[in-house]
Amino acid sequence: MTENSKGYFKKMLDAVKSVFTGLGVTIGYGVSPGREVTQQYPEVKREPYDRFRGKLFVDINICTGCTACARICPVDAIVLKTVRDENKKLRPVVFDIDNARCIYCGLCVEACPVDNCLYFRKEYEFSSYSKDELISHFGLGELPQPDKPAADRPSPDMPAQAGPAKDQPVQGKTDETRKEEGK
Amino acid sequence: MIELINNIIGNIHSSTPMIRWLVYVMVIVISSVIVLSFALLYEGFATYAERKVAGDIQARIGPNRVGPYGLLQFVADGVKLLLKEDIIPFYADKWLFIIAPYIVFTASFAAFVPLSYSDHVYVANMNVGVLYIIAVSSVVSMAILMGAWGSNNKWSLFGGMRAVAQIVSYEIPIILSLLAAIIIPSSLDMKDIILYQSGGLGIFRWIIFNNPFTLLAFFIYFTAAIAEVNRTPFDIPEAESELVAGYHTEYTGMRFAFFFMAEYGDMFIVSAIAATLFFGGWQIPFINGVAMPLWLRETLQVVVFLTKIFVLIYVMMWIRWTLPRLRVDQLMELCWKYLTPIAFFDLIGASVWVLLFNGKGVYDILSALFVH
Repeated sequence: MTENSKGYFKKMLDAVKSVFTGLGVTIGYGVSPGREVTQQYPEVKREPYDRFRGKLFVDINICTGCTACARICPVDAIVLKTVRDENKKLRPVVFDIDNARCIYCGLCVEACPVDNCLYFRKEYEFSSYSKDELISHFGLGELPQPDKPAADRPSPDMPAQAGPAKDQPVQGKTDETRKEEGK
Repeated sequence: MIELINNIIGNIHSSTPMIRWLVYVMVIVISSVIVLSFALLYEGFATYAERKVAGDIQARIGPNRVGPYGLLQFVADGVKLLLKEDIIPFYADKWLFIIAPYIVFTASFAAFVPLSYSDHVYVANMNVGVLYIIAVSSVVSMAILMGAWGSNNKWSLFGGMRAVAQIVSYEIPIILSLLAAIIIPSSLDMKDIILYQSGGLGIFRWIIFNNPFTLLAFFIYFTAAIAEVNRTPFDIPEAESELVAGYHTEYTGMRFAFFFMAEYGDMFIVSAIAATLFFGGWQIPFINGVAMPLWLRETLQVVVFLTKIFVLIYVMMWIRWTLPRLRVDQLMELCWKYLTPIAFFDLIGASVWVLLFNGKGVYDILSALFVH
């Protein structure tokens, strides 16, 4: 038997062997049901991992109004406007998060000096028919002091500005400066 | 089928020629409609089964939205295809383009005719049944080339050329391996072939177990048959990654569906030939059917025959979702350098076996040894 004919038969044997090896792998899946990894999405929902970055949420009651998140946001998704209340504390009057702009980078969460104030929730189903619906409003609203002159605090219909705004001295203060001011 | 009708309406041969003709035409039309609806229903469920098998093997679920377990998926698909826009390319050869799907489907459907579904259920009992199927299914390659050329599209033409080259090449090992099986019962008649395989508990006298050469012939036949019906791993005529959809690239809606249905019809045909020639056709294994009432025996035979076919179709699907596609040169190499010489060797071996043992199979020889 020459080398050539040996190669011929070896090739044949290899082909048959490899075909049956492949078929042996797939038949295990083919005959035994219940090995599907597909999840039927609307009925069965996958529980996201702990570090999953879903919808951004802020616990507005412990927010110090430091605007660190608004300043670090690379896409200006956070609009934050604060005023001082009677205790000289910063009050986040407007805290809008535009989920359509958010890129889920997590910089704001890292920048937030208060624990569990600004964080990602596991919620991921918030599609809507318009971009306006995607903006979540967390702001506490204006102070309930009608006797106070309106000029002292920012006008509610003034367009909200994102990031460090120079014309508003209360914005852009860090936690430390706020503490110093409180002394 | 005609025999069955004869039994029902009495001896029509004694009637006047007019009535005889009327009855024959009626029988032809009715049996065609029955077989056509069976074929279409089968093709519908075959597409569903294909997707389910694919899902199973790929650890997915597959269609499960339309109807219970997604069983009505093919109805939804059919309605969708019917409602699609029928596009004929501007530069297409319209006559060829329009007629090609019908010829493909007709050729595929015509091969259903000589199949013997049970002792008395068949459309036409031809004494050249196997030859007829081989001849009729060859028309498919003509029609594929017509559609491919008529589309005036480079992918279509490449696909059509590949399809014709492949089908014409693989017909040789198919016919040679079928010959190795046919020389055992020495008949081309489907019913004769099945009747030859009776006895031996309905299993051991199958032609596939007749001698080692017929066992080999089955594997050659099955490999070549997969290529004949253009299925993965031999689906180079419609290789999606290279040729978009091959010869039916330009076809839309129902015209595309005809090509699609013809593929599943061809799968049924090649599996039916394998079941008839190698696996005993409608012979019921382990049960002696003679004592049963006629209707039960016939039903059981049809069920057994279809079961054999569906198992073979499942194997085809299983192979499809396991093996990757061959290259064109590999395909031709497999056919001309491997399958054809082996099929020739096999045919000679089977002939010598028939000569040496006087047509007796392994089971006959062994049982003769033990009985005496």
